[in-house]
Amino acid sequence: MGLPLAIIIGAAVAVVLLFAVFSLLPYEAMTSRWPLGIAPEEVAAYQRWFDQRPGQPTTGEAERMDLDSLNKVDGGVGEAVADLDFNAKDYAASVRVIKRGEVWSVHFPEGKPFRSQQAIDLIPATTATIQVKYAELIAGSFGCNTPGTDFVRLFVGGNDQGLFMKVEQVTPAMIAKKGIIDARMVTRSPRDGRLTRMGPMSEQEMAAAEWAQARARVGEPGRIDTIANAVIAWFRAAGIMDTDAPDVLAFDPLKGRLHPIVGAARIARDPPGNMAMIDARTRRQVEELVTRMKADSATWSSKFDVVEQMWAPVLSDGRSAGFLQAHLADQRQRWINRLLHPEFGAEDTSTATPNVPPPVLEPWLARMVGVDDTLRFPRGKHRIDHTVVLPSSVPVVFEKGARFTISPGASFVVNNTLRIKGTGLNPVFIRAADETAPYGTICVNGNGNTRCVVRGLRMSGGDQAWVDGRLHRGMLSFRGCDVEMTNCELGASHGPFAADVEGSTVSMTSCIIFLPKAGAVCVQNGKGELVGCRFVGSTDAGTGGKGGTVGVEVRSARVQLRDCDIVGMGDAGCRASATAQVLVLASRFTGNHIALDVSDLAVMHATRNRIERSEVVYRIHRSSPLLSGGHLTVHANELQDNVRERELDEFSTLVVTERPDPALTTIFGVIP
Amino acid sequence: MRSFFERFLLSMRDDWRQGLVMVIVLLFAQILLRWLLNRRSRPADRAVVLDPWLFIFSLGLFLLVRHLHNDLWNSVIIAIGMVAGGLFTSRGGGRTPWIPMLILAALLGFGIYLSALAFLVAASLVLILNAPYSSR
Repeated sequence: MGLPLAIIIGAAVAVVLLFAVFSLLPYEAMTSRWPLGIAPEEVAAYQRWFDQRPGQPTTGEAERMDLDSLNKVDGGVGEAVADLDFNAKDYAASVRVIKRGEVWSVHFPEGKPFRSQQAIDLIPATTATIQVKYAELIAGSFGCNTPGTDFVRLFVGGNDQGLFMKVEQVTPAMIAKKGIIDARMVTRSPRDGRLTRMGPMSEQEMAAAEWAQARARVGEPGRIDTIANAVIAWFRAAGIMDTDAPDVLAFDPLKGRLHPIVGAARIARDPPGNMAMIDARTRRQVEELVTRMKADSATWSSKFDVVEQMWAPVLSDGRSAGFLQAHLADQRQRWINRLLHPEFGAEDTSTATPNVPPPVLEPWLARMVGVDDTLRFPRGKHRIDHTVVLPSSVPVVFEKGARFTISPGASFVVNNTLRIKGTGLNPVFIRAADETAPYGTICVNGNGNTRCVVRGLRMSGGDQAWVDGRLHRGMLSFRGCDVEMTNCELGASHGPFAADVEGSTVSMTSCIIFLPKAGAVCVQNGKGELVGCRFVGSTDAGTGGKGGTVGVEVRSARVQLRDCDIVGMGDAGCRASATAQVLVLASRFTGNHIALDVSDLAVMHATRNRIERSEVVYRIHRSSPLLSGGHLTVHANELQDNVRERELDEFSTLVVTERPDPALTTIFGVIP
Repeated sequence: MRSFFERFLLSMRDDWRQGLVMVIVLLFAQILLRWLLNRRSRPADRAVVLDPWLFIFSLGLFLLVRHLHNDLWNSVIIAIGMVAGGLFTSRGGGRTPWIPMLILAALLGFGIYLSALAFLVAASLVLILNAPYSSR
């Protein structure tokens, strides 16, 4: 036989053999591991070409995204940077695109985010990418923060680039959407745990983040999101997460806490088995998570089924339903096996971890500890000339008539309950030793509901301070406490707020806060009620904007103001932001630049208030482009001598009602 | 250039087990194809079963394609390999399977082993059907 005919017949026989093998071989056999190192992707490609058995190919459409009009800018080593036109459903803008290898990073213009996302990465997707969705589901179920992911089809200059996974880039704004406000971003080396800045961050913030990491290593609770940390260690030990890429963490300066982000983009498609070095504590947590997952295996199986039903058609790329089903089942089984049998490396017994001794009571303070182990400051003068950090075993009482003078920069840190027992006749005074130089803060670090009762306090001359890796923004600051403040006067603070309450419940009654440098009270991540209080700013209306003072600032908290007076705030009388819920009831706003300021998914109800001599009565707007605007409901407010009634942007709503919402009674516990 | 060689040597070091398997596969493929070429020849006309030059060339092509992750350079190297293979084939009187071995080495270098297997089957069939130097 001649050579050309032999080539034709030889090739034809080989092709017929391939048709026979791929049309007759059961899908389960086709999708199981092949010998000779034959890759599943290659088998899938052959199946698509040569499988001729009857059956409908699955089809699903991913959202289309277009990048056009190349305008090359410049780029670093191994990357290309260009300004391109980006088009997707209901969105068009000129964007900055950076291409590194096969990954496209798209940065949207400031003020015009794409579906609340400032920057995204587009990573080539295959059927194996559905593992990212599994991992996201698991991480989400344990309450971990993960960036949002989606599948899209990318076209560049009209040419189909294939299927990509869209992953939101981890930025402070993205973290803010998860409820961690003002976070700083750091990366952590998987090798030695070293932290590195990811964005703008002061030396003090960086030092606090490192401090949090060090305290977390010695097991101090609250310094790191241990579950997220364990999930990352788990994924790494199971070999489903990129070994070498650094972890991304958000540092919350107010709590002094690190929040590891479980990055979906780093869940590699088929990474090698990995001997992760983790400490014994994290290893125990991982083992606990594995046990929990094993116990819930049936539930997880059904959850993964839902994920596959949702995304498999999109990822099928024209393959038959039977093959896809068998392929996903095999892939899922192997993935779960790896997850349930993580391989731990040598135990991390890093000696770099500082063994910080717990605070001890200084001798001059030990003399004031009574039989009930309580530190009591009796009536009389007390001088605090350096920062004092009390042990967590020591409750503190300031007796009536106690007078404190605090040296510049010094702070007083309580790690247990605090009771200040001032009265109208014998208040407790806290003053700066030098009127021209503020002291730091009097702060309480609680465990979530540490009781603090503050009565008859007269306090002034404090600032803000970093103490024990946490930022206390007020001269009186509470973290994780149940605070009751009555008949207190806080004046002339130098920091962002006179009183800063974070992660706490606060009840403030008949208090006066006057002449704050920036803000009177901030309630963040908690709830509270401010009743019969008076907040007095240093200016009359008209000096508003940045640099002006704020009466009550509520962020991501539920607060009611009742029968309060807010006077002369150069910026805003009451500001609600970041999903806050605020009820302002029967209060008086006089001479503020803005009386009520609502933004960023906050909801405020203003009922039966009197608002006069304001530049703007209601300002409802979107402050962060990644969030939506605010919502204000007003009812029976009395307005007088104001310049403008409202400033309202397109993202926000203002509703005037005839009667207050009955649900307010349930939410706030009062009848408006 | 230095970094290229460093990367090349590093990947060689990491993949040495797979490299060893590929050496065996290439040896087996050469023996098979040459046996098919020789099978209908008289003993006097038969070539040696193992041609060291063919083996070295195919192994070299496999290593270059495997470790040089650059589409353009891979294409250039494979094209040069094919031209050189054609020349060697014509010089050697067609008794040495240069072209199929180099194609096989390139496919193995790309890591598409199923394609390499299918190609080996097809090449074997061609040689079964056509034994150019058979003499009766």
